[in-house]
Amino acid sequence: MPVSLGFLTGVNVCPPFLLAFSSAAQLSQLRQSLLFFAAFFVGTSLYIAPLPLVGLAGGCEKIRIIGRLAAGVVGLFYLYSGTVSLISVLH
Amino acid sequence: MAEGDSKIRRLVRAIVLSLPIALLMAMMITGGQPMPKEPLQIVGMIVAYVFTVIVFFLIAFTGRIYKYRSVFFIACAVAFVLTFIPNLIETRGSMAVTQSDMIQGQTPFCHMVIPTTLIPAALSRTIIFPGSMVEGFASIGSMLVLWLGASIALGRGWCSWACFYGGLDEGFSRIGRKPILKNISRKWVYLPFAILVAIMLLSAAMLTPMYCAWLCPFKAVTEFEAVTSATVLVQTIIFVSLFVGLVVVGPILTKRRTQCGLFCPMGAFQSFTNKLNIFDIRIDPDKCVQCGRCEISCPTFSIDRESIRKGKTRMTCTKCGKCVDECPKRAVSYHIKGTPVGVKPHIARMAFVYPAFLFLAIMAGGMISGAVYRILLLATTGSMVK
Repeated sequence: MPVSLGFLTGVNVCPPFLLAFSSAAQLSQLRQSLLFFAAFFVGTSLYIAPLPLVGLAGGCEKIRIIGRLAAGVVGLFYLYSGTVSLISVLH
Repeated sequence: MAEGDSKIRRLVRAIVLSLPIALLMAMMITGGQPMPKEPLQIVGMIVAYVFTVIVFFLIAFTGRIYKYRSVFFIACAVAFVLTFIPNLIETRGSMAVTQSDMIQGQTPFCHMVIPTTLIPAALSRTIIFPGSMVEGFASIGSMLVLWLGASIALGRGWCSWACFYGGLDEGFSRIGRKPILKNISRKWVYLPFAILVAIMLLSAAMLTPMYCAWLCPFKAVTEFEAVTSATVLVQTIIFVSLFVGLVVVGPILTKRRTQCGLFCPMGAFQSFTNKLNIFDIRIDPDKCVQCGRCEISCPTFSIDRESIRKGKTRMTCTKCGKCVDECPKRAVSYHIKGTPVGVKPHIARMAFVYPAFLFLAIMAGGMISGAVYRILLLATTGSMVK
């Protein structure tokens, strides 16, 4: 499940990805293109690189409770937003 | 008050301690403005001044902080509502804020918004609130400076000595003699932190102050968005329900500040400032007899068995002084970090209470004076609005 959700998130065509893709397409060698993309992904991963460390906080019971409750609150908000959007689309 | 002091000595000490408060309040009550010419306003000022000085004198003389602070704190919250609403009606004609008012940046900024503005401010260098940075009676700049100064001086003491909303649920929590709801799961004390995380992330995602838009119960007694759509109607139902549930019914049933202790994300955010503040509340293990009165009485659920064992309160403590007043063995006391626990606690208590009360008095003075004026206006003209 996490892999498939990650894949679905990853296949979003974002503007920086499109720019990188068009730049890579202009390169004449496959090796250059691969190197270009490798550098692109390393660069764009810098923001999310520390995220795996957040898992360490899961060792604290209090933070787990806060996390679950926060997920519930955010979930309620998106449930409402989704329902409203659905109703407006249906109408 | 130190143990063993004679009544005369306590009286003299209380008078000496009250004198600077009396002098400072005489300067501050006018808010730096010339004395008003309207007699009703002068009466309001005199009532507020006398009330403030008497409350501080009683705190200094009896040593009972919670009992008198609570009266003053509740009066401050009620006075805030009584001055804020007529002021809104005078300036805008209604409690409801319109889209036009928001576009013009005429929405008063309150401290509850602060946590939701931080991430968007860092990311976009914009304060996501439809208020004015420097203009008006509740500008963003003035509230930020006020909050920052008070947070450094008081930590989460802000919630019991500065927040003009806290007195409302404190007031309702004092109705009735015994709590009807006693056993509240300790997990709920983490809900304010969860709401804090949720609203900070959602506000950053939506670039909207989500707490103000969706959850703030105090919109019921201040201002709210005019109902012009189904979404605003839902938001109105939510904030009115939260006000009734958490500020009125919850405190009456539990005799605790349920909004402050189980819901308020600003309170959760403010808890972190307790780590920076030099004052805390400590429980002397040598004097403590494990009676649990501090745990039962704490209005914000900030003392539990674990914290008693550790000899200190949870980080959510608002330094209201109730546990200090309630402890039959005087094991609970105000404490300055880095000093021995239980040694001359009256010095630490006064070192905290003095600036805390002064802050509350300066803020509440104008509100109480204004509220008395509005009540007198109502009595003489039949309307609280000019």
